[in-house]
Amino acid sequence: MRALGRPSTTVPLILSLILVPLMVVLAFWWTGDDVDQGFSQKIFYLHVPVALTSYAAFGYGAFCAAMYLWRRDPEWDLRSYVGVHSGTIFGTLVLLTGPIWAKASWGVWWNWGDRQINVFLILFLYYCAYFMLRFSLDEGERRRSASAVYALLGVGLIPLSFLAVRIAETLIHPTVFTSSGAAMPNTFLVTFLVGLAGMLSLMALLMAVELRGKRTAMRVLELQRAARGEDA
Amino acid sequence: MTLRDAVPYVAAAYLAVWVVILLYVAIIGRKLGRLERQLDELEGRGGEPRP
Repeated sequence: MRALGRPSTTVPLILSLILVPLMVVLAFWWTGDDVDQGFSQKIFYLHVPVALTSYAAFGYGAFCAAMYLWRRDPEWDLRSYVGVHSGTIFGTLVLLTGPIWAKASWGVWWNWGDRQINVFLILFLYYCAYFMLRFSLDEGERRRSASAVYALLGVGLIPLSFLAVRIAETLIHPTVFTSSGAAMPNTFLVTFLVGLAGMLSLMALLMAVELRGKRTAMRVLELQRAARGEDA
Repeated sequence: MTLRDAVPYVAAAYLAVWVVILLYVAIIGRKLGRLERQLDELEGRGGEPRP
């Protein structure tokens, strides 16, 4: 794993500290209120970037799982785990901010008729079960392989969740990004893109910190075993 | 929805994100602290002869 290098925390930390507060400033002091939703539309700049970031984290976890199955390097397994874990954290944020926005916009906390949010919930629960599978098996090759296959299988839900709103007949979950461009003013789009870049930076930072922690934990375990006179 | 009605929802959404991220950072911080203590113990043990 050491051959893959240590992910930097400095760059994502600096970017997060600049972009996330900048998104908040732009959202509240630069963009105007949405004609349809009014002030509650400000949640869009947080909710949608967080949702896209969770897809990116799950996608990264699945990519690393595929790399593990190909290369059999435990470092890819560790990265896959960290990716899925980050995706779950950002997924939690989606499931917290989504219902709040739904209540403000639609008048209900959850709409079981909306395919996108239901597919996202399935995706989230699927990857929550990843941890149950992973920690039900003893550490070793079997656990790494089973986790990798599971993480990889779930990746199919990502495009399904992303496209569900487009194939849905209901118009309750609006589509603002279409093949003809973004159906929103430029100020909204810029703020959204800043928010997305900020959340992706935050994801990279959290993943790098967690990866370092996991590597240190593995090193401590090896040293403890060596100190007890066991094979590392 | 009026501005007055929307403010609690917007505030709750932004607050929820920061609370979850701060909780996550606190958990990671605690874990790293525990690892540092374990490393300190191992370093202390390194100087002693093994039984």
